Amino acid sequence: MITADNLSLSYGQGQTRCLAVNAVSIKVERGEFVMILGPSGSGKSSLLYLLSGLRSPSSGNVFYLGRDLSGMRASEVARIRYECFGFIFQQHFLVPYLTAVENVCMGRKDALKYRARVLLHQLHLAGKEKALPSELSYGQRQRVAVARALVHEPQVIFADEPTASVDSELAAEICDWLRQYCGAGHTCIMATHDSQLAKYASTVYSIRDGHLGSAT
Amino acid sequence: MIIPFPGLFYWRNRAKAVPLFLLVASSVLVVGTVATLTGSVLMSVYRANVKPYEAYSLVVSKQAGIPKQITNEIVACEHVEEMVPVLDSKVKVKGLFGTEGRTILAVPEDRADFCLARIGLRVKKGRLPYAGEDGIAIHEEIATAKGISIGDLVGREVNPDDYLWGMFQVTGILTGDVPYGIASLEYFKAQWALDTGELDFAYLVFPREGYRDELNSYLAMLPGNQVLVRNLGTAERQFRSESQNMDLLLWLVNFLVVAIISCAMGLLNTVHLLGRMKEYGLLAAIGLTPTQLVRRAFDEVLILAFAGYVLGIVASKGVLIYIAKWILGPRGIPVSPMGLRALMFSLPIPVMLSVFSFATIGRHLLRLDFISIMEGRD
Repeated sequence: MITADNLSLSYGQGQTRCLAVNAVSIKVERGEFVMILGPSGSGKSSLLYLLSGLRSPSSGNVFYLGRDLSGMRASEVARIRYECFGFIFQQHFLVPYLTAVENVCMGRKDALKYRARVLLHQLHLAGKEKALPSELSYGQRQRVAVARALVHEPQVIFADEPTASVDSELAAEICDWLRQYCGAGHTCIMATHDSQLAKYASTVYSIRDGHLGSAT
Repeated sequence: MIIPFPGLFYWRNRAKAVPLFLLVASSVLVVGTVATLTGSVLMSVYRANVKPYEAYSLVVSKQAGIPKQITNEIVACEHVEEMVPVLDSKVKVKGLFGTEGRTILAVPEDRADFCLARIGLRVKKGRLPYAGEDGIAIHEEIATAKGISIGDLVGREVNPDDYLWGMFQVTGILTGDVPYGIASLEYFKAQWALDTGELDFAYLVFPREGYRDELNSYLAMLPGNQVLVRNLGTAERQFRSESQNMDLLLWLVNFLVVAIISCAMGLLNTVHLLGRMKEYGLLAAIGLTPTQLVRRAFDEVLILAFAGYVLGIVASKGVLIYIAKWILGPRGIPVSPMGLRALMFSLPIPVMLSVFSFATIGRHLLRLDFISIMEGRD
């Protein structure tokens, strides 16, 4: 489904040049729950951004369903992100003036509100549909962020440290939801520093200094 | 529709929206009201000095009376329906920005009804003056402005500002579009110092229907050293030259208001936008293009600006209706609150500030580094 070929990402030039992702090749199949494990600064988030088309690589290629994202116009990549990908970030990034349902449907059509309510219900937020982020606990906000990534039923979920700021119970819940989602034929690629969560993934890669280790 | 709907931010953050909204509304209120009031002045001048020439052209002697030969030439013109000998004078009334002259036509009694009908006037109360009578029928606006009615006296001896020889008793009140007065030519002539003998000093020349331009072309060929012709074209030219300064001044004030408001609103919008970078960063990350983001931001400004515009126009109409009914109306100063001038002069306010905001916000959004925002490095 997603293939990366000799992918590199560098910042700066000359003496200050830093290689965040170094010649990474990876293949992710449909239904896989891939976890990229690595400490802070290892390049896992950068790799996630490259695979999802958020960033363009310095060299190498990313293919989604056989189409080279690096060869596409920015608007085409944005369209793929919008239609086929879902994102969960370390911070929830909920919009303070929108209700939970509206945050779930953020940037999407009004018609998705029904599905948003169902998702919130499944994520144990029944009755909180009209709550503003300021009326939710941190954990509840992160659940809303998860619902936001799932509401349009994307083919691939990219999760960048979604459990970094939550307690271990919620972290386990989030991983469990993502695993269930993959079980329904979708794909998930998650970057995390927490090796405890590796048990939820179908494939685990470790990353250090931009180099991707072999799959386990 | 895509969530969040444009305008939802301001709807849910009214404390942020209200200052912007009121800024636009109050500017539109001021500009719209001033534009309408100045428009009313211009309209009042137009009705008094230009509109009558839609009905007739005026031929005035440059000497002591119009020679018979010229009179005969005019009579012979196939485009002339009627020629009415006339003398005219003026009374003064209080206008919005000072005093304005109002024409009194002195015509023969037997032609007065015809003149009235063609000019678009009718007797509302009382009657027209008889031949040789020191009477006058005046338009209702003149009567209201001067605070007089039937039976009262008007003329230079009552008010030194009026160019009306002697004293005239008001015999009737006229109504219609043209704020004129009608007096008796026979009485005027008897009072007039200049003796023109059998010759008439001036004529109202009424064209046959649909032949005004042809008649004016014909009258333009009359010897210029003997007669002066005043028609719709000359009246309009004079009106334009007198009114263009007022409009220029108004546009200048408008430009300054627009510039100040645009800067203020652009700045406030940018401040609000900078506070919403995470929202826009997220939208960009999930796949909205920079163009879509700019469009969303622009829609918000547009909604706010035009909502303020609508409120400003409604408030302006309210103020103008109040002014027309309770302040200027009773003084005989007509104000047209429902004119399009307020809309026309104040429309640049929402348009320009939308454009200005678009320019400032658009620049930010087109350069938005959403990765930095998502990584928390913004």
